[in-house]
Amino acid sequence: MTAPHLSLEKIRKAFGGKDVLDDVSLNVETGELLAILGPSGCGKSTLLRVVAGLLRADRGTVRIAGREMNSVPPRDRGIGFVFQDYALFPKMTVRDNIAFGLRVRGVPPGDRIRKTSEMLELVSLAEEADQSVETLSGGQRQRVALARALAVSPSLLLLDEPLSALDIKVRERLRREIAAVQKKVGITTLIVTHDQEEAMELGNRIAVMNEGRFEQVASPRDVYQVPATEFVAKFIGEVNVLPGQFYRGSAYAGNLAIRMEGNGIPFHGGTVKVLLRPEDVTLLPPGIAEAGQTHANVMSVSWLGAHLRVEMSTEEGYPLTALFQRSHAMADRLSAGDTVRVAALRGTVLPDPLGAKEPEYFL
Amino acid sequence: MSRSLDMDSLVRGATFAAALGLFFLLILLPLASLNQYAVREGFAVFRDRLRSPDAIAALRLTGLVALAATAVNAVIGTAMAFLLVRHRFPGRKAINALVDIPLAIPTVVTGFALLLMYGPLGPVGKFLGERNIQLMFSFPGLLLGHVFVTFPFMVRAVGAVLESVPRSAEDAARTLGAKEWQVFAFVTIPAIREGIVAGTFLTFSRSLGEFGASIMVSGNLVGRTQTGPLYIFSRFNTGDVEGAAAIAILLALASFLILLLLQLVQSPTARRTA
Repeated sequence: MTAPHLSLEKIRKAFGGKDVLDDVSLNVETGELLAILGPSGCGKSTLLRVVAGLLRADRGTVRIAGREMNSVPPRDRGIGFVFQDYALFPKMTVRDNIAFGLRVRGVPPGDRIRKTSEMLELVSLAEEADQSVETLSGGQRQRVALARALAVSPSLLLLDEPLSALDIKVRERLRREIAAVQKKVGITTLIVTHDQEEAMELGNRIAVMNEGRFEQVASPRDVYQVPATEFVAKFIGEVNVLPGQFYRGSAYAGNLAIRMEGNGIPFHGGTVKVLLRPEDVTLLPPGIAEAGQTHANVMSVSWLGAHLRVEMSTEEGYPLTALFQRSHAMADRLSAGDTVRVAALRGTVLPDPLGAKEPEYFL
Repeated sequence: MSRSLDMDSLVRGATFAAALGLFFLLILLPLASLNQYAVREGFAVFRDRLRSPDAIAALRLTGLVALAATAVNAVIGTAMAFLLVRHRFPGRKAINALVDIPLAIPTVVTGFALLLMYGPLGPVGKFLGERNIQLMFSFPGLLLGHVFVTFPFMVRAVGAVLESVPRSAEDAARTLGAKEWQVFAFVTIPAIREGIVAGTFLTFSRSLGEFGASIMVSGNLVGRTQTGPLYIFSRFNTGDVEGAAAIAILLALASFLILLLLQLVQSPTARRTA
């Protein structure tokens, strides 16, 4: 296995006595696109600035292509950086913005012109080349910023919330463009975002960050299906969190039995937290509950277009949200006040050291 | 409803009329009478007054001091703006307030204070005097007074623009390979250019008209340390109204042209982005 292209070791950074980055470590493989996902203020942008050298970490090591970068200025790190507010040079044309890095690095005019034209083609802005960047739309500006960052042929591309200043339609289109450009150039990329959909769509892997630490670094599938912490489960998508018991290889939230996702449950019994995605809750017509099923009272039914969302209260008293297809057999009949049977398709179980010692609802 | 609209437009019309009227009475009429006195004795006399060696020396000195004060403040005023906007340090608020002091205290007081400090009897003046350096009653003293009095203009003009300039463009330049001087020259300076231009024009124009501090620190030595405004004052005091008015007209015109030029260089697009 080759060495990671970017390697972070125990990065620590504090502002005014408060830890913003708390011993963060991360490896990013060559050519990989890794998304750092987290709420605002979790430290993700700070981490990106430390990688870029725009901020100095209090402790820890940044390595790019095996070389230690701690005392290397941003200009010598071989990085491209794209900012949330585009950070274009306002009084320059599109072409001059893209050529800036080549110019300050003293690239000869011939190479400079060729490379700049190549970049203009890459982001489809050849026609706007000689316009002032102030005449461009937000989406176009961010494409200029991307081309400008790539023009100096960096080995590592850093994107700091590149789409969050754009409106939703432009955002989705540009997201695909970024993915396409990244693939074409094949550059190792780190993108910071608070948008889970963006992270899921772009990232080969997602690093979920909270309060200056990584909660989980895994594939989009795994962070959704096998969240490592309650925070990850709640931050990515919707989730029911139920108090549960682990007993003889199965988890139960009240009478509801949970088939576990993933393997290797690191504990053998006791109080746990059951994480259940709304789409993994199955609704059945009322009747005698079979083993592992429970009854619930429907509180509300909302139509969300292709899906229905049902808020319930189980007979054990837990609030439970289910999401199911419009084509479901019960979709048209269901209304508030109905009693239904509930089963769980699959779920995740986390240890709950603070949970009750004795089972409250257990058969 | 149309009645109240009519009332509104009436009130608005009256306010505008009052503003224009006061502008006319307080600014245009006095300037016009200046003009009248300047050419009262005929155009030949006006030209003659302008050509007097003392007048030419005074105008030259005024221009030189204004240029020098502007150059000095363009550098230290801009530096102070960076310090106040870009850095957080203890005492920043106090310094921020002190910057405007020259606007708040009478310029004569400024001149007086400089005289006490750097004059022959002042501590610094005495020290320098023993080494045969005389600050007061000379060009350096005059320059000192003008730099002090015009200091806030540059700081405020640059500071206002600097506050609206995001740091990310400079960071972008750093990641693109720019060295610190390149960041400053190619990104920071162009971004605050409007502020520097505005500050330069205001400083220069304010310096042209400086009187209070000048009369204290210059000694008002005819042909040597007498600036335009001091010349006007002296001429008027000796009864030469035409001579005073001739130079006054010239200085007023110069100030007007400078401010007009400032309006013109601050193009609509430049102001929109600021």
